[in-house]
Amino acid sequence: MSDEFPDSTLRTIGAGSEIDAGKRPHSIDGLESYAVMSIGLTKIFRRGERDEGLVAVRDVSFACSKGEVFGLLGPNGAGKTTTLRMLSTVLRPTIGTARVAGSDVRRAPQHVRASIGFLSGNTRLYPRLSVRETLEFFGRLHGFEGSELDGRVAHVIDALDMHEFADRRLERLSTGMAQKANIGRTLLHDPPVLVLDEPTSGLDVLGAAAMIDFVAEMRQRGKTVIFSTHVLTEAERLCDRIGILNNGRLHAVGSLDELRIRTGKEFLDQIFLSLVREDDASGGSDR
Amino acid sequence: MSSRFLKPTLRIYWAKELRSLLRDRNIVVYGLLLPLFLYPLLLFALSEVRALTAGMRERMEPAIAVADLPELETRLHEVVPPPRTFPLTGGAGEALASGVADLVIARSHGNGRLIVSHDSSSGPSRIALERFAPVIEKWRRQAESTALARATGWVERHEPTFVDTSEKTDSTRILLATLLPLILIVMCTFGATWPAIELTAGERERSTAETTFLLPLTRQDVALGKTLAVTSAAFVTLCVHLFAMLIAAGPLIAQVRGGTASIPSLAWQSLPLVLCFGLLLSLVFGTLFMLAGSYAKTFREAQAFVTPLQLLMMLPAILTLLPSATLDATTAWIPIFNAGLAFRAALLGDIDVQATATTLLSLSLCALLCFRTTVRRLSDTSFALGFADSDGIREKWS
Repeated sequence: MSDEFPDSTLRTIGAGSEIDAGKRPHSIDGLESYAVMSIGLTKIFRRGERDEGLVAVRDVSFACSKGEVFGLLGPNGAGKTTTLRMLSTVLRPTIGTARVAGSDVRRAPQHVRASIGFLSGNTRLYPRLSVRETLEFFGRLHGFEGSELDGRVAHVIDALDMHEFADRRLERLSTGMAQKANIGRTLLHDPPVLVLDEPTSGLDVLGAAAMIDFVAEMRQRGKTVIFSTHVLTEAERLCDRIGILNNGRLHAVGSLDELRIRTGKEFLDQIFLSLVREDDASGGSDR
Repeated sequence: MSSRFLKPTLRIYWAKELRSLLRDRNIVVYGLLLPLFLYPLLLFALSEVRALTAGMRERMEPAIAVADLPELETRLHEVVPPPRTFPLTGGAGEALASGVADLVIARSHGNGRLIVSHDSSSGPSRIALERFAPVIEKWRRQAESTALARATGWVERHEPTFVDTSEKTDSTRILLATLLPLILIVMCTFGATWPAIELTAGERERSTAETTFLLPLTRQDVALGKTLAVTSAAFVTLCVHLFAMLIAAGPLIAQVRGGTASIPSLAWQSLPLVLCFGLLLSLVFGTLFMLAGSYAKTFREAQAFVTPLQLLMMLPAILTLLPSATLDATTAWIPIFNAGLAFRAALLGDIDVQATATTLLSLSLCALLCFRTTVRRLSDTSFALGFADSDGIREKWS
């Protein structure tokens, strides 16, 4: 599992590059070995042509190898959701680009969407469809038909133990059941990359535990998982590597051991606080 | 609108949106069931009211106080059923107020003019006036003619007689062709409103808009799928209304005006043209209401945005009721107004090819403009997230 970009790439992407709204994305060809690669992702929200805008995410670069679980940690408003939305093509990067499952988010957003499973508190399912209809709808859009579609739907219902409510409309399901259905639609097309934005947010203890088990299982199955959270115990338990986002910047990236060495702290909450304070002290809050 | 011309993924998305819409109780009730039951129920209610009032009139024996007018009194008794007449003893107001008389006919003490008094706040008094006013008027005219003939030798044949050569079915046909376009346009706006709000503000309120943006479809396809679903729903509502009115409108108008209860002989061979106008109108209303709904955060807010727009759309349709409104080279360019007039002309079989073609062109341009604007808006990230994905760069993002 390689943690670093090749040197030539680092030079190409220009870490710490100036924010220039007109700048085109850098070349990222030849880096297919990574499942996810973010290169100088920057997002500026502007209200008009003359507005200087709010820099929500600034020059975020990292790479995830296939089968890796990567956690994005950060306080509220750090830019986690914006980064994940850019990776999943909901938002367009102002500068920089990313390659997800072999497709460029700028050049082929539709292919990116077909290759990922995205789950967040904002991605609810259609209430008037049943669980089975929902899975069939997503399956058809991903190009499955006939017996293959039926097989996949049956497999997901079986795997997530949804037989009891598979033909019930989503509007009549409990939060936990709906979350299971949501996980089901994320997995139906067997995407190589899963992007989970605070997946345990709003869930009760049992639901959150089931979600953690789900991420652990995905790791065992060799999926690449990027997930954001501010529950540090989740990250500590699941992540191969962790990125600390603060004030829109990716302040530190590494495995838990690497971060321990860097900060001299033992536990993740101490490491996190240390890095965030260090960033704030160095003027990182100046957006 | 054949689905064969659409991409398979777009077809799947359109079908899903339609399925969701058809499971919305409000859309089914207002769009499909209401039109099917509205007109037959209206017909039933009207016939019941008519029978009831007719029965009441039959049973009623109006009391008319007549002051020294024996000729007129004789005429009044010719009406079936005849009224009860009696000589007026006191004042007219007193007789009416006490309920002794429903109508008082007397001559003025000063100039001798005939005065017919009634109490408009009393139902029997109103009915008595309605029934006997024509008799009194006819008596007056005959009395005048006779007096004039005696004095001047004036011959009654100079008195004009107005004759309506049209049959009752013809006037019913024209009335139906005038009313039907208005009702169709109004109902089409109703048919488009709920689905348009449901697929825009409804999605945002339920937090499913971001899910939709994550589907492996281009954003244009998502917007197109929504537009197709709303247009289909509005068009189906229009068709159901047309069908229901076809069955019920003839008897309904016959109930109101009297006459035959068969379906009036409208130029139904123009139906494809009527449906074509209907489809374009559905597209215009659907896209406009979606556009308004896309700026709302909640369903209720969207209703507040769409309702004034809906009323605005109805206004040109109401103007088509003006007798002077006709489809010509100028009016054919005014969207919605032209559709109403073209509907009417088509239903009467009175098609002016040039004006109809202009109407089609004008409506198509209007639909295209609304469609493009709406697709652009629904393709925008701000529709899904509630804030603008604006970074100053104009770039295609699908």
